[in-house]
Amino acid sequence: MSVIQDIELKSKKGKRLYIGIYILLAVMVIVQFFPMLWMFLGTFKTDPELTSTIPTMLPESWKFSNYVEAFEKYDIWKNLWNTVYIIVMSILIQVTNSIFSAYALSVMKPKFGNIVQMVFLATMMFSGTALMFPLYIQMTQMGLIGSKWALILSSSVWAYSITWFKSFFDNIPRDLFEAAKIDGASDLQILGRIVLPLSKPIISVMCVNSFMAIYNDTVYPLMLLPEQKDWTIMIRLFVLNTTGTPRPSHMYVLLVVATIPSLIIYMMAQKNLVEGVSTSGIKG
Amino acid sequence: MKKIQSGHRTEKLMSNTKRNERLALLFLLPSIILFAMFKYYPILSGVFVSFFDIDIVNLPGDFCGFKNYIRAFGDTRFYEAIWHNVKFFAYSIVMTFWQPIILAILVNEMRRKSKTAFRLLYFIPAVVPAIATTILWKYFFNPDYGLANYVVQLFGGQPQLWLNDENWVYFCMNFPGMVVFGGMAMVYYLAALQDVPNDLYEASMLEGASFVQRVRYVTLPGIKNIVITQFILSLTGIFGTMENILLWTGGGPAGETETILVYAYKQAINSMDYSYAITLSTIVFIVTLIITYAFQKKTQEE
Repeated sequence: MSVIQDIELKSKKGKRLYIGIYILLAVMVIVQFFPMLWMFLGTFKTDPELTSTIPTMLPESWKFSNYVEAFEKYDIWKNLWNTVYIIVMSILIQVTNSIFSAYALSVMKPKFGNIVQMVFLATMMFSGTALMFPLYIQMTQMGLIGSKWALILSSSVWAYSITWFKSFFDNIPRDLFEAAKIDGASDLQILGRIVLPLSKPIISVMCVNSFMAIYNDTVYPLMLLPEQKDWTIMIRLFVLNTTGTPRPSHMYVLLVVATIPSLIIYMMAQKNLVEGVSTSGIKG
Repeated sequence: MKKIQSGHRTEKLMSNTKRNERLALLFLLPSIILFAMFKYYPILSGVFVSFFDIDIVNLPGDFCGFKNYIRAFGDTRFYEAIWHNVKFFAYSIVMTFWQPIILAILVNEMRRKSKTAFRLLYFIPAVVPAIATTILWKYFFNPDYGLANYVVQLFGGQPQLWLNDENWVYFCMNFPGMVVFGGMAMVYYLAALQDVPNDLYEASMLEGASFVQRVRYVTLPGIKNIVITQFILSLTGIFGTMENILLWTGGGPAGETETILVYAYKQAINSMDYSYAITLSTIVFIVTLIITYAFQKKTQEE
């Protein structure tokens, strides 16, 4: 609910406050967009312009060939394909595991459920970076170095995601399940026909969260995938910036390319995000 | 009639209990196996091999007792690294933690279409991935041609070395988060704001409370839980900072931003000293576990 009451908006004072906040938000949003806009315009500038002591906002001459050059030089299509493959597989497996686990814990409530849940939840305290080196050694032993599956398996389960789904399922009225049970529906049918259609918002939230966690990962994927042909776009960015001396114009193109997948994901999920967060009850 | 039906239901549920248990186990089994293989096994094996001089070809190598731990606790670079983690955390809380809260409160004031529009507009700039943001701002902070020095000089200031200056480096690394602050955190706070009861706002309006007073005494207490949750979340990441630092500075200038995991990373990658890297990451794991546990205990009590 809003701090300013609807009734106050009719008074002069209330109106002034509302417009004040509106202007403040509008001004702040321009500041927020500036880096993104700068990044995008940078992809059309020449290297001398990008490294000039007097920066320019708009390119002096629009150099569209930066995109062609960067895509050729760094095999970006291959990087993007690897990224999509790893992300889609990881999210599919992770979300499926979470839904089945959460359904079992929330709806079926087996006797051993509490213990299993505790075992799952405890892993939230294992920081990913602390797991990194032991996992690397484990993957070496399993002979998975150089395989995308090393990465996909590492993110196949996420306690966080299970908690979110479980608290969402907990809020579905129990009558629905009981009615379906009496009609002779099996658990798989209930999951597929009742639970999943209701869960769209939470699935959106979880896909975004998983995406962020997996997409932004670089150091660990680089350890697992030492060869260039397997790199994701983020590994490419990381390596170029920590070891190479890339041309700024190419770098700007790579930055924009790396932003596009997250832009797409967020735009797709955007509508469901707020609802998903509100209905899951996770917000504390 | 009612009685018969409920009796029938219980009977059916009873006979189904065993089947139900088995099916539930089947649903949980993939997760149980994967958690065991890719969470519990590595974390325990990490603790296990931290007592060894690791030989990557012939694991685990030779048992060496507490040697790695004794080395860590006698290592000044280790203590400096802890200090750098704390410093980074302090800067990030002061510079970036509060904006999404205020933003959510302000966006929540907007009505109908303006609200949806602002929510979306603030969300878009935050979708630029963290790594892309870091690289972009490194160009801004470039001492030779960066935008930062240009702007500073426009206002009559002296050009700075920014990321190469130990006095500025922590500020610079957190600066992007200070100016671009929309995104998921805002969405969480916005969702929580929907649950603050309107009666309280109405009552405080009738008592003549100002906007700021209402935020102070109604809104903030109403979203206290989510604020604490978010704080604990960032606290659990306090010793996990690594990738970002590697990109920003590689631990520089002169080791001034070398966090524990950056130190561990360098030991593993540059010196091939996996024993020490794993020992350091195991220490991080145990410390994080203690912090999280303590805070969860404390918030549950309250």
